Amino acid sequence: MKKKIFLALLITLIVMAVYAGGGKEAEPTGEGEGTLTFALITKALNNPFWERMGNGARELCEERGWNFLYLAPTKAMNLEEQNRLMDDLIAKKVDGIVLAPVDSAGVVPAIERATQAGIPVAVSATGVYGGDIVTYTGTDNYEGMKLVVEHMVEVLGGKGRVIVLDGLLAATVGQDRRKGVDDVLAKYPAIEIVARQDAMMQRASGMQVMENLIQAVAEFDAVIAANDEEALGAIEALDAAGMLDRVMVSGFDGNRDALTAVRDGRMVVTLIQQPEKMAADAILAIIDHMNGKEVPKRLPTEMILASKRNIDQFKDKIDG
Amino acid sequence: MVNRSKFRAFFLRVPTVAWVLLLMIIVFTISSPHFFTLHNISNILSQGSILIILSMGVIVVKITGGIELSVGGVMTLAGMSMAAALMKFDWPIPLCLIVALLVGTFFGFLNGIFVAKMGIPSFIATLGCQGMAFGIATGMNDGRVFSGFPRQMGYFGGGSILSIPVPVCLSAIAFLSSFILLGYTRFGVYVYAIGGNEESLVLSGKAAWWHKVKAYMYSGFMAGLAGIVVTSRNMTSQPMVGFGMEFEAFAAVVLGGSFIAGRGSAIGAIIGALFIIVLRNGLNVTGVPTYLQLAIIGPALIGSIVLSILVERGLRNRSYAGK
Amino acid sequence: MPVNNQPSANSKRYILSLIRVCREFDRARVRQIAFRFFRVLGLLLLCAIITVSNRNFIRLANLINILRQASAQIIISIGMTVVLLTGGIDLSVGSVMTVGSAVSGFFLTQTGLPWPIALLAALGAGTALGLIGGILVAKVKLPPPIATYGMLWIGKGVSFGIMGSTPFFGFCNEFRYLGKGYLFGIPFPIWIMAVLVTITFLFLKYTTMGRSVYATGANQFAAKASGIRVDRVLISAYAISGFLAALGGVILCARLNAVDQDIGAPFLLPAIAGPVMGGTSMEGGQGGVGSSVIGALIMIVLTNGMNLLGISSLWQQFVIGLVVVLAVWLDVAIKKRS
Repeated sequence: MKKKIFLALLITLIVMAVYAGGGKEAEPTGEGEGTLTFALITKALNNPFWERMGNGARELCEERGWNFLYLAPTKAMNLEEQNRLMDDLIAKKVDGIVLAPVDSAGVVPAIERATQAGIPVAVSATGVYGGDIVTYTGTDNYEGMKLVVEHMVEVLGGKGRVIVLDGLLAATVGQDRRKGVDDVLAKYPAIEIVARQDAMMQRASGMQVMENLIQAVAEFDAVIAANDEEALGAIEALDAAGMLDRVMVSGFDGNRDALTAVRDGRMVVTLIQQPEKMAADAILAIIDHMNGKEVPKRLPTEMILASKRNIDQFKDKIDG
Repeated sequence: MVNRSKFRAFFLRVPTVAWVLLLMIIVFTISSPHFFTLHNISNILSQGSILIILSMGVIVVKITGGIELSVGGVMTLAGMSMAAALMKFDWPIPLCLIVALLVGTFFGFLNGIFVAKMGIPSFIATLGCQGMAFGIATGMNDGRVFSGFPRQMGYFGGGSILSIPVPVCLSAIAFLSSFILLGYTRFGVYVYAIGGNEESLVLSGKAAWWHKVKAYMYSGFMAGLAGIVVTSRNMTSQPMVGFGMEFEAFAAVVLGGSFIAGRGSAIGAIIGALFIIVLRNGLNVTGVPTYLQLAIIGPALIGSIVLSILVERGLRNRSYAGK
Repeated sequence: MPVNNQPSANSKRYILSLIRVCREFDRARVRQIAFRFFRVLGLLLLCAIITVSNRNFIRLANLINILRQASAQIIISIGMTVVLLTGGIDLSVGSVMTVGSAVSGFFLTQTGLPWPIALLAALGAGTALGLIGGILVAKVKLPPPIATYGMLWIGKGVSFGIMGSTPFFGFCNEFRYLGKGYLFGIPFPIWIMAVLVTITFLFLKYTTMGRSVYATGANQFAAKASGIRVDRVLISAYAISGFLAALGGVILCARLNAVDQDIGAPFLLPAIAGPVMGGTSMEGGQGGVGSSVIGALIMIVLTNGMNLLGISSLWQQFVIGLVVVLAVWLDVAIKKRS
């Protein structure tokens, strides 16, 4: 008797759980024949950068009365999941997809399937090698990184020993930033790259890699990181080793945590990207495309260097 | 009386999770007009093909009592090896396919030897192989991906035979293969025997260890096949593409009824795999944001598994008592 | 160098008496000691090889660095050891780690409550999840891999429920002391780890419950027959594992000053491989805290060594996989001999 009740409870629980999720589609956010639905697929759930992209897209859609769905792989940076999400969105017949590709080549077949199904796709924050996309919005990672590194060189006085932390070399974002670092540093022979490792654009790996490098490398003056999360992890490691006052660290992204670090003197410089704008621009570009307008293939998003000099301008980003 | 026992027999044969799956399908169909369409069904089966193929291999190992954790890595390495053969050595496509299958089977063989001959617990043996496979996959091309395949390579992921997508055909073949193997061949009998009571098998004179090795080789072969499909679908070979799939395959076969050694079936495994795919797809198609999905998937998975175990036990106890 | 014969005659006598003493020992005990020693020897050998290639390894700063990086992993391994000893396995530890981090992160950043509350909440959450897992195994009689696999997903759901899609960061300094502080020059996490290792070791060896753990793992039915409350033992084992996993998560997020949704995932497999390599059997009843710590240290030293030797991180996975298999094989082969 007890078992039967337990069974019944379990079944009810499962039904409720599934229905609670499923019932979401009945959300009356301007449910009507003419409402457009846009979806954003980012690379992972665990970086405030993607969160900001989601916010930007969501705000735009709410403003215009469109439906918005935010999806991401549950395993961070997983290509297989991203492709599955693309296919599910195709089945869902959304009106437009904005994608931040985990792998610039691996998503191309999925993009082609979407285009064939009549769904316009725009990529954001990272480019792709192929596929008929509406546009690529996002920071010019190469130029942006050059700005960051030039600033670091200036602060170092043109010479010093530098550790470079790369990230995500499988995607254009990692490669472009790496190229930016290399091209700038090549101009300054007095600056020596004493170590270089891939820190996977995550805070935990950034910290671990830095900790190991601290042991392996005798002396160094600066750490150039591929993104803020890596940089923040490295900062923790340097702080714990008591080296933070002597070593300069640079990041890239402009996350709130990073801006706080710049304000507090723990990070020297970072590049503020505008993920909100990237996502929104992508959606607007899709709308233009749907209306038959000509859309440029590359829509760079403005970026701003943030260092001790101008950090006061960004108070709202830190506290807000 | 006769009706009741037939009823019970039927219930015992159909895994509980099938009913939950049915329930899910109904709920999703009600929630979204885009779910129960030909396009989405085809989508589900194509996406799911990788998990299905992997599960068809893992179930055989699971029945022998082993835990197969290497399929993610082996699948990835098979894909990378195939890509290397294609892009670096310019081998013709059919040969590259064979490379993938051979790599998979070889790692399966390694697993089998580790477990059956060297006595290493299957958890550790397959874990070690997983690490080795991922390691080679990452190291062989400096962590970079292979891409730029010739168009024909996309056939196994994107082409179709008689308007059925090729991955679906392949998963159907994998299913039939495991179904027949487990249910209608002597090897299948041995597999269940090893799971159920290994000693009796040894005593009856058969080389139990060799059959175990074959089970792992079969699983490795399937992983190789899955590697072909995933590489073809993505038209890239990524060194980390299979990461985490071994746990999905594990969940699939467990959902399908393989709770302990000696139990499980190909039908159960494929239903388990479909359960996972349909759940994810349904949540996406009905528009649930990902971070919310995770709060649903956990309870759904564990609830279904617990339910299955309890139902099965309840029915079995009843049938003992009833007699 | 001895010039006359006296010392060598003495040594001969000495050796003879040593042999006599050894013979008097129980054969199995000698072998047991030799095996334990053998693994430690392996660890020392590994350290020696690495030092020869890169002197930086043996520096105190590096060793402390290794131990500090490893503290969270070792703490979790201890919890896993207790579960392994009962013949089970806990696949949820990575997920419970994340929950521990998430709960503390939540209390620290979203409420104004003092940090000890955050710590207690995190540990409580972990223990609760462990308890549920234990009940699933002991009362509902689910196979441990399945029960704890389900808990893994529940843990994920809980973490996401707490965090939504925003990671937490920026914790107060007192809390961060747990991860970053020093006590008498040694990082705090190492102290925590040392204390826990000692407590668990004493618990397993000298308390009734501890010995029941071994008995349950060796033969559950015999244990029950001899009056041991097997249910209680199992539930306690999983609760301990949950508690320690949450503690590991707390230390991790204190060091990282941030929490994200999958912070604990990479810790699961080493938490199993380490103890098994160290001699704790997956079938239960054999092994212990000492073995597990050695096994965990082997894995950690190996990784750190590879970094120092400049072995590309790309190939490190391969080496680790290979070493795990070989180490366990060696263990099994030696056990078969006895």
